[in-house]
Amino acid sequence: MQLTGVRHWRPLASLKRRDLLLGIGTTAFLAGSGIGVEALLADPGSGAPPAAFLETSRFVTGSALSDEAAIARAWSQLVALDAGFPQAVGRLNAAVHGAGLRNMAEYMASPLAKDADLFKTATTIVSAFYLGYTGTFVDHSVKDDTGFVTFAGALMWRPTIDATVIPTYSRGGTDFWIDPPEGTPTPKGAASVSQWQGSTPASHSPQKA
Amino acid sequence: MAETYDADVIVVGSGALGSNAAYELAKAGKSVIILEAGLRIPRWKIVQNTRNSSRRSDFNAPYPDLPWAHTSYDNDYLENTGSFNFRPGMLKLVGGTTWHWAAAAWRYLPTDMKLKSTYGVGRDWPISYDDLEPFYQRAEEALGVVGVDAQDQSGQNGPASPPRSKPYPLPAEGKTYMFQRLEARLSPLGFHFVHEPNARVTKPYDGRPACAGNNNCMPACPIGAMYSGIFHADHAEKAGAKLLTDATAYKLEKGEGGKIAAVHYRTSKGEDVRLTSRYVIVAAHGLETPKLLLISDVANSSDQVGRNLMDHSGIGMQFLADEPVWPGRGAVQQGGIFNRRDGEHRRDYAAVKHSIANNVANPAVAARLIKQGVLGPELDRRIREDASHWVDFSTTFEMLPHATNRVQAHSTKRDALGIPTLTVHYDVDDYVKAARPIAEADFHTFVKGMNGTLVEISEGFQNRDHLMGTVIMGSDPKDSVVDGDCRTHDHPNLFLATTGVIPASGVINPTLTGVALAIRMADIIAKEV
Repeated sequence: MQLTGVRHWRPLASLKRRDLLLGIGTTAFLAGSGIGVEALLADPGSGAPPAAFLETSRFVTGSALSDEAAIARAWSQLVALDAGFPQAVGRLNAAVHGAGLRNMAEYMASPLAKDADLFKTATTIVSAFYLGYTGTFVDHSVKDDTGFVTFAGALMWRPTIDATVIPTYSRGGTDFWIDPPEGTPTPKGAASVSQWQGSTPASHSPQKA
Repeated sequence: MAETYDADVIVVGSGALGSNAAYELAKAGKSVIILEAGLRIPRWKIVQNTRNSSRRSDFNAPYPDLPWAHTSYDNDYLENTGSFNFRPGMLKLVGGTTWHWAAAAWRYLPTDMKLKSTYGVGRDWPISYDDLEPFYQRAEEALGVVGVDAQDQSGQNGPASPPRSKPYPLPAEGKTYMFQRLEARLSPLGFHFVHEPNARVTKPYDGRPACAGNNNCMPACPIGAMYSGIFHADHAEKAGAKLLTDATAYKLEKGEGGKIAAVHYRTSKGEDVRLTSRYVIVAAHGLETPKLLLISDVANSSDQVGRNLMDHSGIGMQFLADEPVWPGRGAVQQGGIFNRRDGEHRRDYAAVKHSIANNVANPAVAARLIKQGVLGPELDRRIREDASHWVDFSTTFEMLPHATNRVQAHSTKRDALGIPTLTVHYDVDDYVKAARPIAEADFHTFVKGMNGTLVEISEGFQNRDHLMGTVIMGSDPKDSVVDGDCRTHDHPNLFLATTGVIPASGVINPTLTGVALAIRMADIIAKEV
């Protein structure tokens, strides 16, 4: 199975021109000192996510997030849910840089993973990009604080994309589901029976006019 | 001078039941007007809404929730006063609530329809299985039902049951790998696996393509392989029926001889319209139908309108099997374990149906793992591991009718049209509660049989969105609303096409039965009009 692998901390060269226009300096990143909260809060009404959010999101998800609209939605919604979110992102960003971490595997193995506040921020961002929405779903209601981020781009689909569909899409055609995904080990013990008990091979399916 | 009418028959509601009745009547040459409170929404738009929703577990979310045509999840529209938050997924648009369902198309068993006579509980139907069988066949042909002809759907591993006059219109879809694996390991423990007949066609049929496993039956089939009332709303129109959208019926006007003389509807623009017809069919959902009767003060000499509300209140269980079974390949459900669908135990506790859900497990699995603090590369690894081993049982129980479980028109609240909203009082009964430990014991056996790890057994009870009993059928006008033909006892020209007529709930999804009854009533009306 080919998965999108965990990507290393993306260099600032990947940041969009828009991020630079927000007044976020590159040297601070390269120096490993993170981003200032002032910069994070610059032009909060613009709706554009700051560089530190993009960078931190790429780091915690291990993914080269590139859907600008989805990133912008995630940012604006997370800020709307928590006014302290920009500062939290700044703290996480600075902590990651300060510890010289290159990826989430290193983060999870580091003392930073024990910091509950930082971990909560990481989890919030991961949740948004993996599940494709922000906020908390309330069942059997028409109102909650959820916000749409992405559907097909939700990272949760990625690990099984060779085997299952993203709902609403299809693969393989009718009855592809009789066989297991390629590479599934043959189970030990009781053998599978693919025919329905009581079914007849003969088809009786008139075309309805 | 002969009296003139706007139509031979007015049908209130364009869902699967109303549209099938309307189609049969229009096909028979009758003039038909269908009133639909909601709007017509194209499939592509519903699919787009699905993909753009932040509430993907809310099957109502992709559909309009209008101030004059609410969905059931609007707490301002449906208020609960009982111990249970009774909140089925109700939609108001052309095609009705079968836009989102899992398309289970079961027939009742003969014993389901003679519950009181057979097991001494609940009520009997005033008609028998044999009375309904030809109409089940027609309903299956209308919906494009696929099934296994020779299976014992009672779950007792016996000969084919219930009896059929003809084979299913279409052959069953292929058995999913997950179903194969669960069956291989649990059937030796005595569990009887039964294919679920369903209205997802397996080859092109009635303009619909074969199911391709989009795994999105709820909230919407993207390709139309799964049946929805929209197909027969369209068929009815092509056959000559006139379908009016944004037309909320708010009054059935009583006339001479106990007949209903007219139907009054209101639009979102504030227009009030009075239409007359020889006959009226109210096919406005199991909650809205009794409400319309109540606010019109019709059909309620028995004081049973709105009472006897039943759902197949259920519980759920998830576990991780010890081998990859790969849910999410195919449609969202395919059948389950039916040992307790019928038997002597129904004297003491509810029938039980264990359905195996077949949704792509990633959303549930990923949310659970993130909540557990699994991040980084381990998150991707665990999503694949858990999503491939995930098993999700959705269990339902048979409910008995109780006069205290009821839907009413709200005493004070009004919607944007000035029409009363809904209030529901529902308590899960002891008959169901007595079955719960039995079902939970089964759960633990399933987990053990798959050498699995239990994730969760749900607390309390869950909605199953199968509305029955609210305009209950019976032979005695003193304790029922309609007779065996779905004709109201009080009004000879008023028929009700809703699963709300069902007097004994059994444990299977009631939609096919509702359609069969709707086709049957259309035949009766066609002879009389």
